[in-house]
Amino acid sequence: MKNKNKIIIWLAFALLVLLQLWVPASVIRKKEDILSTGTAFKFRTAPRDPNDYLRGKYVFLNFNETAYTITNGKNFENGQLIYVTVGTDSAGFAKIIAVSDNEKDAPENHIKTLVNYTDYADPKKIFVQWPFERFYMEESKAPLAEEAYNETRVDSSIISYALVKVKYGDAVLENVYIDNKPIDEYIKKK
Amino acid sequence: MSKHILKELPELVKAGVITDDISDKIENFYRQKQRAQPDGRINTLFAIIGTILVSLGIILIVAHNWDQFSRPVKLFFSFMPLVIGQALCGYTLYTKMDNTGFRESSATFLFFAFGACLSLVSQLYHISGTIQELIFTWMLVSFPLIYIMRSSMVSLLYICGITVYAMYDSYGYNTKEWHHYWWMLLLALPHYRLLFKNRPQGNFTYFHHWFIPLTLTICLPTIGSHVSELIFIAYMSMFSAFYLLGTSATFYNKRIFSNGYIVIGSLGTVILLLLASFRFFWDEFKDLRQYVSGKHNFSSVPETIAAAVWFFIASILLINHLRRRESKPVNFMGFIYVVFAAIFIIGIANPSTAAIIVNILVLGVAVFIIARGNYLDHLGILNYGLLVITALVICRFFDTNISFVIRGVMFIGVGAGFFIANSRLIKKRKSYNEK
Repeated sequence: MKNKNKIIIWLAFALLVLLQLWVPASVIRKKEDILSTGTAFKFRTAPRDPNDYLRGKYVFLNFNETAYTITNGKNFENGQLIYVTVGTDSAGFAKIIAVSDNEKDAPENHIKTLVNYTDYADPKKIFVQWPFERFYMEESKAPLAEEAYNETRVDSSIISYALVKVKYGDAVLENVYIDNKPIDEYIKKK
Repeated sequence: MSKHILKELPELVKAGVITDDISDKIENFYRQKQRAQPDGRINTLFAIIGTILVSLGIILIVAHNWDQFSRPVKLFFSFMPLVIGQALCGYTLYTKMDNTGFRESSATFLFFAFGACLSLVSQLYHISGTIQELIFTWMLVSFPLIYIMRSSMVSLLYICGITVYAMYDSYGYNTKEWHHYWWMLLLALPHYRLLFKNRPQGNFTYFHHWFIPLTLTICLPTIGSHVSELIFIAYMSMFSAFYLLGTSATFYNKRIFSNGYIVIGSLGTVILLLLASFRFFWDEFKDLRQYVSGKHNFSSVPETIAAAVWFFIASILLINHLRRRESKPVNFMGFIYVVFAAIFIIGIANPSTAAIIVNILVLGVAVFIIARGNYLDHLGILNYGLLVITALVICRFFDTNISFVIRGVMFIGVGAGFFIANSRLIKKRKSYNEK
C-alpha cells in the first residue's frame, strides 16, 4: 500500500515537473514561431512608462490605430472577443481592415483581441484593445524612453511605431522604434 | 515555557513547595524533551523565511530586465531556478520527506521559481496579459505542490495568491471569471482538513485558522455587484458562522493566536453593526429598493445565493451550539445574523427605524460581551465590550442631530463604565482569592 502511494506521488511529481516546463515552453515555442515566420506590421504609437510588480518596468504603448466602424450591421459589446484583420496604409503603417466575431471569417493576418469600448455616440464605432500594449525594458531605461517620447511629441516629424509580428490570431511585439531607430538605441544616442 | 519553569525551580525548592528530588525529575524531563526536538521548529521557521527571501530576491532580479543578455541567455536563466527547484523537490521526495524544514523550503522555492520563470517569459515576449492572468496560471500550476510535497507553506502562499488574484480580477466588477477564486479555494481545503485532523496543535494549522477566514472576508465581494446591498446579509451570516465556529468545542479552549475564527467573526460583526448604525448606510439601498419595487426576480443573483448559503451554514452551526451547550449559557452573539436579516428587511422600507434598532442592537451586543467577560472572569473580554460601547459613542459623536449635552453625557457615562466595570471585576477576583 505504501509503495503504491509512493508510486502515485512520484507520478504526480513527474507530471507537475513536465507541466511546469511545458507551460512556459509552449509560450516560448509559439512566440518564437511568430517572430520568425509572422508578418511584420508597424503600429504608430505613443509610449509611457508604468510598473508591474512581477515583470518589472515597461513602456505602455498608446496606439493611433484603434478605431473601426462596423459596416456589416453586427453589434459588439465592451470586452467582446474579436478577430481583427490588419493591413497597411499608403505610408506603410498598420491599419484595421476588418473586424469579425468569427475566426473563420478572418485571414492569416488577423489578431485575436477584445473590444476595448464602443463609442457612446456611435455604437457602430468600436475601439480595439491591442494585446501588445506593454514593452518591457531594463528598469533604468523605461523612464528615459518616456522622456524621449515626450520630447518627440513636440516635433511631429519624428515618428514612433511598434514593430509587431502577426500570425493566425497571435501577435508578438518585436521592438519599438522612435525616429526609425530601436528605442534602446535612440535613448543611448540621446 | 520550559525555560520559565526551570528558572522557578530553585525558588520552589527553597520555599519548600517541592523537594530536591522532584526538582531534579522536572529538570530531567524538560532536558530530555528538548534533546528529542533539537530546535526543529526554529530550524523550519528560518529555513522557510530564508527560502522566501531568496525566492523574492530572484523575482526582483528577474524584474530588472537584463537587456545586455540575448534572449536565449535570458531564457536559460529563467529556467535555471525552476529546474533547481524541481531537483530539490525530487531529492526531498526521495530522501528527506520526514524533514519538515527541507520539505517546506524546497516546495516554497519551487513555488516561487515557477512564478519567476513565468514572469521572465512574459517579459521577454512583451506579453500584455494582466498581472491577474499571470497569477492565475502560477497558482493553478503550483497547487499540486501542496499535496505532492505535503507543504503547508505552499498552501498558505497559494491562499494568498488566489486572494490577490480575486482582488485584482473581480473587485467591484461584474467579471465573468469571478467564480475562479471559489473553486481554487476548494482545491486547498482537503489539505486544511488533513492538517486539522493530523496536527491540530501545529503552527501551520493555526495559521490556516487565520488565513481561511481572512481570505473569505476579503474575497466575498468578488461574487458580483448586481444588488450589492445583499452582500451585507452574506457578510453578517459569514461572521456569525466564524464566531460560532470559533466558540465551538473544537476551537474554544485554544489561545487567541490560534483562533482566527472567533477574532475575525467577532470583530467583523461589530464593525458591520457599527457601520449599519449610521443612517446613510440604509439610505444607500437605492438599487435594492428599485429591485423590490420593480418586482425583479433576484433569487438567481449571486449575492442572494451567497447570503442564502452563509445563512444556512450559520444556522447549522447555531443549532449545533444550542444542542451541545449543556449547562452553559446561550451565546446570543450567535443569533445576530438572524436579527440583522430582520432589520435588513425593515431597512428597505424604513431606513430611520433600521438605524435606531441597530444602535440598540450594538448596545445589547456590548452589554452581552461585558456580561460574558464578567461570567468568564476575563478582563480582556470585559474591556472589549466596553470598547464596543466606546466605538458606538464615537460613531454617534458624528451625528450632528444629537444634542451636545446628550453626547457629552454619553462619553462621561462610558468613561465611568470603564472604571466601574474593571474595578468590580478586580475586586471580585480579590475576594475569590481571599476565600
